[in-house]
Amino acid sequence: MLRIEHLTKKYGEKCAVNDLSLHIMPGEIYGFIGHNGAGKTTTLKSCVGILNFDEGEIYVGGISMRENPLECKKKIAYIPDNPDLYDYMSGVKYLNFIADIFKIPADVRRQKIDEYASAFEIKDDLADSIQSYSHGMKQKLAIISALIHSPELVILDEPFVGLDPKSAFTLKGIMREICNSGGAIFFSTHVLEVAEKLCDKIAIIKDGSLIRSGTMDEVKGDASLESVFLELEG
Amino acid sequence: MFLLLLKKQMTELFRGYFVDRKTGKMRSKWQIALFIMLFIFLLGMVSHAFSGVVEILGASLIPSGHDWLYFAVLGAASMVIGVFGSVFSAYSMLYLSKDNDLLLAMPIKPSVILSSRMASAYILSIIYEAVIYVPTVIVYRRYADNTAVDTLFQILNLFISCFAVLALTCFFSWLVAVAASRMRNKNTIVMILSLVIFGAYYVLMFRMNSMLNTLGDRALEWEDTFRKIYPLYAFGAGNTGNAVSFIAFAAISFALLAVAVLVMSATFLKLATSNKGAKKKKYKENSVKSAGMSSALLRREIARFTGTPIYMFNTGLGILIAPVVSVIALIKGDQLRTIVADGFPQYEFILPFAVITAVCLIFSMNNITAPSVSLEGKTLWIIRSVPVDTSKLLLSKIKLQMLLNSVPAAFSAAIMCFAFKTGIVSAVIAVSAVILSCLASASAGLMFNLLKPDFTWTSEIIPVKQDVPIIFSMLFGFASSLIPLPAGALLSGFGVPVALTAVCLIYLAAAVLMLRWIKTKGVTLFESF
Repeated sequence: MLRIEHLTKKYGEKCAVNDLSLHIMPGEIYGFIGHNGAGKTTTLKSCVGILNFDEGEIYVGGISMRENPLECKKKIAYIPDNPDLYDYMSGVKYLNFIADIFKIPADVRRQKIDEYASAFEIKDDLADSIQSYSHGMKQKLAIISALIHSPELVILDEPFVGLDPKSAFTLKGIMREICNSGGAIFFSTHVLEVAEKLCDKIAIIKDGSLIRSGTMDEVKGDASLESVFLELEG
Repeated sequence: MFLLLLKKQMTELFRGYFVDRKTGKMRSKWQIALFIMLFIFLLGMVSHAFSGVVEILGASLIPSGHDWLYFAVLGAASMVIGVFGSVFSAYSMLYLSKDNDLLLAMPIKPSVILSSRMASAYILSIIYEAVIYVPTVIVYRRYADNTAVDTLFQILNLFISCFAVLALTCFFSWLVAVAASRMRNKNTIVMILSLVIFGAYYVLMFRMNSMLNTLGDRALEWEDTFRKIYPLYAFGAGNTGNAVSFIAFAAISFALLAVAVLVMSATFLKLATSNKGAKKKKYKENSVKSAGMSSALLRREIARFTGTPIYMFNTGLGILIAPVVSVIALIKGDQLRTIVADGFPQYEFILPFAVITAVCLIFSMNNITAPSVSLEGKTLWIIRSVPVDTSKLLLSKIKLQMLLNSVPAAFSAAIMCFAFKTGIVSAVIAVSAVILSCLASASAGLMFNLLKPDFTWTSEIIPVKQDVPIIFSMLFGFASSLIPLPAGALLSGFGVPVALTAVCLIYLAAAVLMLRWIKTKGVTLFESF
């Protein structure tokens, strides 16, 4: 579903991501962990086509992000760590805008909005201006807008920050559903307990380089993910 | 702490001149010098536009001994421009800055935050006021013998009068903030107050213009009137070397400022953090509708434009002014035609070109595309992560400007051509030229913003009013407005329709070249942000 091959991204002299390769298969929830500034967000932004990268290749469903970014983006949904949305729109207008971009028919989008807005308990707020939303409400709206086109690959940057426990639980359920129906999830997190319980595979990045990746058992063995992470980061 | 915050404010205001906002690197000395020179050039051009009136007033009032009246009248005009020019910048800077919460959470007195922002507003008001004040002093020195004391008072009075301007600016922005804090929908109240304040400004300027026309003949009468408005008298007399008046005006200005600081300090925290919340709206499922991608992109631009009063009023004012000017042209068409006939014997040839220039000048204020890329700000990730053809996205920004400008511009040009009886053929070509000029301006604004984007602003007023693309866009607007007159004069031998068509072709060529650049290099640049 997502193949990252020898990805390198530099900001001037600084190498944010160095020769990183990962392969995320359909049906997998892939966790991405690392310290602040390790290169997680840069990697995720490169995967969704927000950032251009210097070397390597990224393939989404076999399509090159470098050569055909629009086709790749049609398969992807991205939820950033800090959902800055269009404050001058109402929630429903924002969802309509995103659905228009993905050319989702009116009846399908209506059903999706109804389903996800009810699940995240935000339906009554959809007509209000995004300006009046709390951080958590913006996060929920960003999640709904990401799911509205039934993406094959969902890339999330710290998705549980700002969500209430019930919404976090709902999101985990949705993530699993997407994978069960053949999609894939690639997400970054600092909450190691969540990563340990939720992920099929995990990758640890340090100073822009991948230092360990694989199934949860391959990465942590009998130890806890926290102790392995702290040891590797050492 | 005050100096630290002031430095932050100044960095925000002028960073674009010294640092490339895209790369974060310092510009070269040549680039910095070029940007500063362009800024000064633009100010000089605006100043030059006023210098004609200043010269006429100086020639009639100074030699006849009405020196203080000369300064009082022009001082009043410069203060009006200073106040109205910066009232919404001040409101935005004082109460809507995105770092308000951050600063208020730190151990900094709200009054210090307020003072540092007022200092920024003060610097802006000096710039606005200097536009008239500088030519006023220059012309005065030509007609009167200046002593060293006169010169000193004149220099000091620029800075002192700006304290009065700052006090009035802050007072108006405080009123807007108070009104906004009592309303659920801040945008609506800001929009209404903007209309009222801009309306008042134009009424005032119109009356001032009528007054200036009669001032030379009725100087004594106006002296009596102005003597009753003591602060203006004190300002005028102070500038001619009267020490008592100078001190009195300084005292009045500082007193006004002190009152403004007291009132604003007492209410700043409340107003900066007020949030009545919008009225809860009921979500209806039938509000979920589908549209095409191009339509969605255009509606997004419209929503941003109409949902951001600062953006709307700083880049769309020409839309309101154009109908007013058209009506004036319709009423005074014959009179104006006679004036042109006296000045230019071949007036029938000049008039359609003058119409294009006039309409283009009005719409040179409407730089909707110039901040449109920067205004994506921190929401840029949305449009960069969805499957949108970048050229369609950029085109939607041009479409908005064309949608809002081309119709009123064409309408104004048609009315003016009718008022000046230019003939139907000339009118049709002049209207076409105006529309093509709108397209060229929209493309130029977008091109400048793609070259010099700024996504790090903390107040929308920075990209909308102060960043380099806006200044370049205004310069382009002024310059392109002036094309028809020399082009018409050069091609007069070929006849009016041919000369007008040549003007159309110039605008068309400029628009096509810039659109081609936007679709190629512009797209690449946007995708690298």
